[in-house]
Formats: sequence, C-alpha cells, structure tokens
Amino acid sequence: MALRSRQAMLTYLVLPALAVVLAAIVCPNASAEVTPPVTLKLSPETIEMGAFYDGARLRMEGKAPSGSKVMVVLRGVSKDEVFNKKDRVGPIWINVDKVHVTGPPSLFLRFSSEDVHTFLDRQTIDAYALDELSIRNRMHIRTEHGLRDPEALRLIGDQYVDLKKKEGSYRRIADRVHVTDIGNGEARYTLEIGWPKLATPGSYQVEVYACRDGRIVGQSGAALQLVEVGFPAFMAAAAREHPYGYGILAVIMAVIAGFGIDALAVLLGGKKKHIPAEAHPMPRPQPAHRTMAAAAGAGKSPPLAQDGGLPISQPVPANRAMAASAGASATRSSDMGP
Amino acid sequence: MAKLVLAAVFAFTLPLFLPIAGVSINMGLLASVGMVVGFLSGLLGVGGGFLMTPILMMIGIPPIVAAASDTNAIVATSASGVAAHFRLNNVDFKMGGFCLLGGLFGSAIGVQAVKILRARGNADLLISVMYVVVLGGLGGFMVYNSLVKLRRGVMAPKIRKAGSNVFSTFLARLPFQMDFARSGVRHSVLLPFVLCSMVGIMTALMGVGGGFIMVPAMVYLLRMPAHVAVGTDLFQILFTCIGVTLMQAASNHTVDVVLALMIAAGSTIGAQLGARVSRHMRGEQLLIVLGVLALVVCLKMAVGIALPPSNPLSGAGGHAMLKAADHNAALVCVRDFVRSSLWH
Repeated sequence: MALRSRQAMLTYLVLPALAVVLAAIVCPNASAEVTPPVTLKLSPETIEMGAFYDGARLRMEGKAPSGSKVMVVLRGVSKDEVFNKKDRVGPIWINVDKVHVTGPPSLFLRFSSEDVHTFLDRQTIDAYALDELSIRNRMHIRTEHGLRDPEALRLIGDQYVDLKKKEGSYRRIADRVHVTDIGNGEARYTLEIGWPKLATPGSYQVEVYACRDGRIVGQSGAALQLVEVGFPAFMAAAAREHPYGYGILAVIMAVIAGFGIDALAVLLGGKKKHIPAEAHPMPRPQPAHRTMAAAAGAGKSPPLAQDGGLPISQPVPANRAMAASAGASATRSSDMGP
Repeated sequence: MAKLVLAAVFAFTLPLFLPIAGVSINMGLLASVGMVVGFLSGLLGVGGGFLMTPILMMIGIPPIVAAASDTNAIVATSASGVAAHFRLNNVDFKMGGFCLLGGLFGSAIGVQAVKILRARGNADLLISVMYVVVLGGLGGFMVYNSLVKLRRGVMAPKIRKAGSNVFSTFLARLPFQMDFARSGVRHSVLLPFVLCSMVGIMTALMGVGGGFIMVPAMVYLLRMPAHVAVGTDLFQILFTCIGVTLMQAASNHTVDVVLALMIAAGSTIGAQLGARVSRHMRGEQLLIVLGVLALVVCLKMAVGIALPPSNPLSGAGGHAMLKAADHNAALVCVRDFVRSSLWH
C-alpha cells in the first residue's frame, strides 16, 4: 500500500515537477513566448524609378521587445557573377583564370543600434549570415582552371567581399537604428536611409532582428520592390521584347543626333566655305610610275583637281608637284607621307 | 538667350534614370564626359571607346551596358565627325569602303586567332605585350617623326628619287590600281584591303576600335593626308559601330539609348569642336597629340601589368584599356558580329 502511494506520488507530483525544472534549465527562454513580436513597417514598400529618379528615402519602423538591440539588414537577390583573376606571370600581372561566384547577395546593407559583435556571438552571426565573413563562408566559388585549394578559394572569397565593399554594395553601419522604450515590455525602433540610387531594379529583402542576451529573440521581414515606371519602363520593355526594332531605333536616333548636331553647328557657326585647293593641298611623293611619267614631261601643266588634290588622271610635272609641296609647307602641311 | 542658357544649366543639374543600366546619373556629368571624349574623337579620328567605357564604369554604369551604349554613342559622334569632316573635304569614301571591308575581314581572322591563342592559354600574355609594344612603338614613332618634320619647318620636304624606293615600285606594280581622288593617291585596291585587314587582326586581338592604329596606318602606309585619314577613319568607325550596336541590342539587350544619347549630346558637340580645331593644326601636330595619347595609354598599360593590382579580381565585362590583357564586351560583340556576318 505504502509502495503504491509512493509510486503515485512519484508519478503525479515529483516527475512533473522535475520536468518543469528540466524545462526551465534546458529552455531558459521559455518566458520568450510572451515576448512581444517584432513588427516592421516599410515606407515606401515600392520605389518607383521614373525618368528623373534620383534615389529615395526609405523608412523602416516597428516594435521590438523592450531592452533588445535592433538590427536591420537589406539584401539583394543573389546572382551568379564572373570575374577575371590576375596573377603574376614572370615580371607582369595578367588575367590567368576566370572565377565564378554563386550565392552571395548582390547587396548587403546592415544597420544596427550598436556594434553587432557586442551583442551577438559568432555562431549566431554565421547562422543568419549577418556579416561579410559569414557571407563569404556560404558562397560557392569555382574557377575555370579547377582550383581546389581551400585556402586559395577562401582568399578569392575575401577578394570578392573587398570588391563589393569598394563598390559600396556591402556596408555595415552601427548606431543608426534608433530604439525607444514605449512601456509594456515594448520598444519602438526607427531607421531612415537614403536608398542607394545606383541600386538596380528588382526585389530586395528587408530583415529586422531583435537581439537580447547574445541571441536573436525575434525577427520580421518584408520585401522592397524597385520598379521602373513610365518612360524607363517603356524603354526597358522595348529593349527586351523587340530587340531588333530597338537596335535599329538606337542607330537611327544616334545618326540623327550626330547629323543634327552637325547641322546645328553649321547653322550657328555659319556655313563654312568649301576648302580651296591652296588651303588643302595634297602634296606627296608620287608613286614611281607617275613620277617617272611626269619626268618624261607632259607639255601643259594640268589643272588642280576640284577637291584640292593633285589631278590623278593626268601625269604630274615634277616641278609642279615640288612647288605645291613647298607651298603646302608654307601654309599648312597635311602631308604625313614618308 | 540668357534664359535659354539658364534652362540648359538647370537641365544639366537634373538626375536622369537610365532604363537599361538601371541607375540614376546626373545629366551634366554624362554630357561633360561625352564632350571631352568627343573632342578627341573629332580632333584625332579615334572612336573614343578606349576612354569612354572606363569612365562610364567609374561613374557606376554596369560594364556591359557601358560598352554597348558607348558604341551606340560613337555612332552619333562619328556621324557628326564624318559630316564635319565631309564639309572640310576630309573623307575619302572610296578608301573608307575598302578599309571597312578589309577591317571586317581582318577582325574575323583576329577572332579566330584569339580563339586559338586562348585555347593554348597564352592569349592574355600576348595581348598585354602587344598593347605595350604596338602602342609604345607607334606612339613613339609618331611623336618622333612629327617632331622631326616640325623642326624641318617650312623647308622643302625631302624629295626622293623616283624609283629609288623599292616599296613604292612594288606597290605600283600591284594589280587593280585605282585612283583615290580625295586622298590624292593611286594604289592597288589590295593595299587598303590588306593593310586594313592587318589592322583589323590587331584590333581584334587588342580589343580597341582601331583609330589608334588605323589613322597612322593610313598616313604612313597609304600616304593619305592626316586630315583625310582622320575623316576616313571616322567614316569606317561609323559603320563598324552601327553593326556592333545592332548586334548588342539584338543579342544582349544592353544598349541604353538614353545613356547613349546623353553621351552623344556632349560628344557630338565635342567632335564638332575637335574637327574645327583640327583645321587650325598642322598634320604633324595632330599626330603628335595622337602619339602622346598612345604613349600615355601605353604607359598606363605598362604600369598596369607591372605593378600588383589592389585586387586580383575584376569584372569580366570591363574594357581592355582598364584591365591589361582583357577583352571588352564590345569586342566580344564585334567578334560575334563579324563571325555571324561573314562565316555563318
């Protein structure tokens, strides 16, 4: 009887109590269930790129658990990229290989309320790909010469990240997200940035992370669309859908522009007189057979060609050619012949 | 008039969104860049791509769009330059036609040469060395030769004895002799064709438009006057770039008409100014400017291949002049164009 009551006590009282204690030890953030969710309001959600688009202001705001650090990450879609790789060959540096990079985002902008490394550990940063190092570790690198050395591939990854940083596609800015406690265990965060005007049309992912005690306690996300509208949209569609017509149009417009500017220049500058023969002589050593023919002596001096050059259909007297040469040198030499 | 100028200045401060490049750039910046490059184009007969594409990349245009749109802009610039030079009687259409044919033929051969060299794995080395040697040699020769002529001044040019030049005799005996009235020369049609084929091979290997090489070749080997060589070269560039633009638009969809027209607005004005300035310069002076430019580019290339790069990785769509031993996107399209038009 006593044994039964002991078993019942073990089943109904001790084990559940043990389970609660174990749960509290294993899952210390069981109380996170009551943590207020992270919200994100993106304004605007779509950036329209018209003919005179010059970038845009982008505002991100929302709520996060009180006392948490907030981090906002903007990512562009990942796309495959190809690079030339230089190496030293003898005394010079030349392209020796082609590198194909797959996986990294085309854009990576990270804004936070503090330096991320002060409130997140390396493992978490790697798990969520929250810095360039973790992006580098995730990218796939292939070279056309089949490079396999992990150290060399890692070096190429570093060089890729360096390239992206230099072109401004990868950036990290701390102390940019403003967080204010609003009570009830909640805080309000705001971030306002000038959207980079060199960012190309497409879809971008905005991610917000609330971090506390070295971990991410909540996150939210939204998509930002960059779309061409109006004239740019029309031109982009024409180039895509009617490439031949678009190409012909491009050529015609360029030719018209060229001749149009020329006509305008004539109009504004006044029509120039045709270059007279004396001002634009063509003195040059004649081909041997013509010079020899000239040396043989043609009676009358031939008239100069209308365009200022020497007559071609008739032999040229040597003395005439020399005189023309001398005259040309005195005014303006256009003879570069040897 | 003042209001018009103010309106123009205001318009130049406006940003402009480029639909194919997908980026926003200041209009005035684009037009100014175009004007500087167009000036050189009109003055020297070079297409300007070797300068324009790297500059566009520097201000944020994606490399492949920069190369394609630059080619489209060169259509406008060279059309303007050809018109200006035509009025000045500086375009030899007949010579330009043969050169164009030869250039296309040579490019086709050059494309295959690059293919073979790439398969052997030594194309980049050869191209790097070619850049330095050809540009350095050509630039140095042009500057030296022109300085010698300028020093000679108004003295009568050295007259060679008729028939003493074996090369001239050989050229005179070639078949298909033809008069090129505008250039004031008589050559076998084989000469411009073969010469321009050789230049075409070099331009295909080196990835430049050819103005750098074509103008000196016309002057020194075809014996054309420098001014006519410049005008005729622009005529040839016009047609080459029309072909490349069509090909880029059709195959890659990378021609940004808005970008091209903005550059062209500046570069056509620059080309007009360049053509006018060229009228007031002696041929030797023009060649000195071109030679110095070639030497500067050669120096940049030499430094570029001799010093370790800040980052060994570089975009695969860039311009050859920016990155030693690298072919630009425009060249790839020239190759595709030549290959498709001639061999398929």
